[in-house]
Amino acid sequence: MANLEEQAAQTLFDKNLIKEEQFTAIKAYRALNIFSVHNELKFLLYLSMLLFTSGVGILIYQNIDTIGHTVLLGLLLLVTLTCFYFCFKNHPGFKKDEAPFPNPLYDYLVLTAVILSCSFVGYLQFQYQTFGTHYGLATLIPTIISLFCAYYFDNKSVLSIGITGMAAYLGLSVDPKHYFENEMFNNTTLSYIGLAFGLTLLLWALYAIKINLKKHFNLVYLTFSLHLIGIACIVNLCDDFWFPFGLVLGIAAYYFYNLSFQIRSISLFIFTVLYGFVGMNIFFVQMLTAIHFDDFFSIFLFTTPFYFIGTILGFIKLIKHFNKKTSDDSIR
Amino acid sequence: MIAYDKTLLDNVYIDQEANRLKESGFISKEQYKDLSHELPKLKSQNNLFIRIGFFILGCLLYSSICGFISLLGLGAMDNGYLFFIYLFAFIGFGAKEYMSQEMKYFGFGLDDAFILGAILALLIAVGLTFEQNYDPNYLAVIIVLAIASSIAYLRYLNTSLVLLACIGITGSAAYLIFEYLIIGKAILPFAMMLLAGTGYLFSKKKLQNLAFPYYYNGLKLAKGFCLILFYLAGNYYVVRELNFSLSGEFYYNAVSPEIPFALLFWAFTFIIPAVYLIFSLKSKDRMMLWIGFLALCFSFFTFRMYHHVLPPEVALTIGGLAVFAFTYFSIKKTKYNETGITFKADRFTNPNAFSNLQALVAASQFGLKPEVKVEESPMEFGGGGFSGGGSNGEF
Repeated sequence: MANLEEQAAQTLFDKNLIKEEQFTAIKAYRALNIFSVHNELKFLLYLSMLLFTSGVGILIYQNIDTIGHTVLLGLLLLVTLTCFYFCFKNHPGFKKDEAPFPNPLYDYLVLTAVILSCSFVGYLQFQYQTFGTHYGLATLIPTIISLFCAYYFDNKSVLSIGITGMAAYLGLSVDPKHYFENEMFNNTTLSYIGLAFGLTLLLWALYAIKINLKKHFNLVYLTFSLHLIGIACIVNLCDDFWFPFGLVLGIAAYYFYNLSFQIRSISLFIFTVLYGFVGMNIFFVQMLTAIHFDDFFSIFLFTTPFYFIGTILGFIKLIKHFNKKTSDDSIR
Repeated sequence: MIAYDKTLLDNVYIDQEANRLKESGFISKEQYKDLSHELPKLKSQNNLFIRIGFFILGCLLYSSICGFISLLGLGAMDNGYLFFIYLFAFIGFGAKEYMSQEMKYFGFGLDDAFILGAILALLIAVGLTFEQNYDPNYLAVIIVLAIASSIAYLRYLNTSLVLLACIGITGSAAYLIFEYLIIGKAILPFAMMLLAGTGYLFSKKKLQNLAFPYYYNGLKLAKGFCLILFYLAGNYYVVRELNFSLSGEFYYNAVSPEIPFALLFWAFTFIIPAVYLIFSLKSKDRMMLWIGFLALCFSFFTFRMYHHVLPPEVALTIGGLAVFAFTYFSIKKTKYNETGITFKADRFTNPNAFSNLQALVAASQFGLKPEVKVEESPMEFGGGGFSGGGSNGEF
């Protein structure tokens, strides 16, 4: 492989497309023959964290009767606090922009601590009903802890836990599992709440841009927001009051489309286009059923290849437009 | 053999190298932009999602064209429907050829859809032909799959075709051995291992002596496929359960019986991942490292399947601690290495490749669930809506 890459670099140099000092730098770097296991080791760290927290969670669940609640709660609290202690000790402190730990190890420690504290609060409520019948509080407190940690320690994973917590407080399940099982909104009221929550997240992200607070979190917020709005609108498009949601989806898609240029996010762009396209098709079908188009069904079938060719040309145009706007020549 | 314009194709690979250099910071973005404008090249989609999107659109287009033709030929299609399926395959190949030569598409998504759709149509057509004239014969279908996708890959270089070709070759070999050899069932694992080993050595040799980059990705994929196949062919779980399901379940009260040479397969199960891991670190082969790691995980799964040593929760906790300790010491050890194996981020690989994925996993694994409605369960589950640190799902 290195051989072929060097060959390509040589061609670039021969064609006078890169400068000589660049070429020598590349050659020298390749000669080091680095085999970086950075990503692999980080992945292992993450895996160990997942395994450990899952194992501890189940252990607690199973041994509630034998060890005694107070001991278990105490142990859990101790471990959590130790984790937090190390995190606070090693973190440079809150900053408005990116503030990473000096050692990536601590990112995982923060995540562990947050998850354990979620378990702690949940256990407390389960066993002692600390919050009584204010069940929302039991969700809200871990959410606040995670949001605080996300902003203080600058951790995206924790932030996404916090957002799911906020959604859970409103009665929504917005994690990917439910997303893929298409169980996000099992009734209409929930889908309205979801739409409103999505719009709120969007507004917060825009406000965060304005006050320069953790701009790199915006992708997470906007992703959640886009999916919430998109799914809520599409679910409602298939329902009785489809027309206004078609309009909302259209406006939202147009807005996100422009936004994706600004923050140069390809994933946002793709999903916007996808939701827009799916929504548009459902909208068309609803229109056709509304005007009783069934009689001309076979004529309609004949036009499908041309419709698809048209959409393909449209997509190619959109992508070219995206490439031009972001001034970065190719989307990777 | 290759359908594309050679200079344009060469420029695709040069552009890829330039992009790598841009990503790793050796050349500036502006320089890459100018350079990329100067190189005329084939049109391809480098972003996977966009490519998948175009692939889906291409599938829709292809099927709607097929539907269109079927509608036109509806009257004439009494018994000659086979002819139409062959026609569809022909259209698919023709469209791909046109796209490669005239429209300069290479890995654009649309062309992938047409070539894969054409192969699928061809397989259906062959299968139906055999069903009409003789018994259904799957061997013919798999052999056609192997041949058609190999030739298509050699001509069009779409990497997905390699996977199809590998599946086709493996499938036809397995089918031949299993159906037409008397001792086929007994030697099937060993034959598969032999096949995978030969394929691995072949693709490795080819990779080393590669003068042009055209077949690089395909050979790499074939190498990975052979590694996985080699491991699975020797894996105890796979051998035992496959042996069981191939011999009919009613014999053994639905419990798979012990297999002959069990010890040998147990040895394979654990030695192969270890060899993969060590060898990959030695030869600096990232793909092999990942395959080795996944194989090791699967080996643990295999072991736990038949020997219940520890309860799962204890195993999870201890495993987590052990992995953490291992990783911690590895990081300590490789932190300051300047060459060779190191924890330092390579300029050519993205150090934050997993960060977004991790956020996703965290949200799905530990995301807070809404409270269970009070009316439904007033007492027990009031606050139990938590995922409780991963204890979700199981309980």
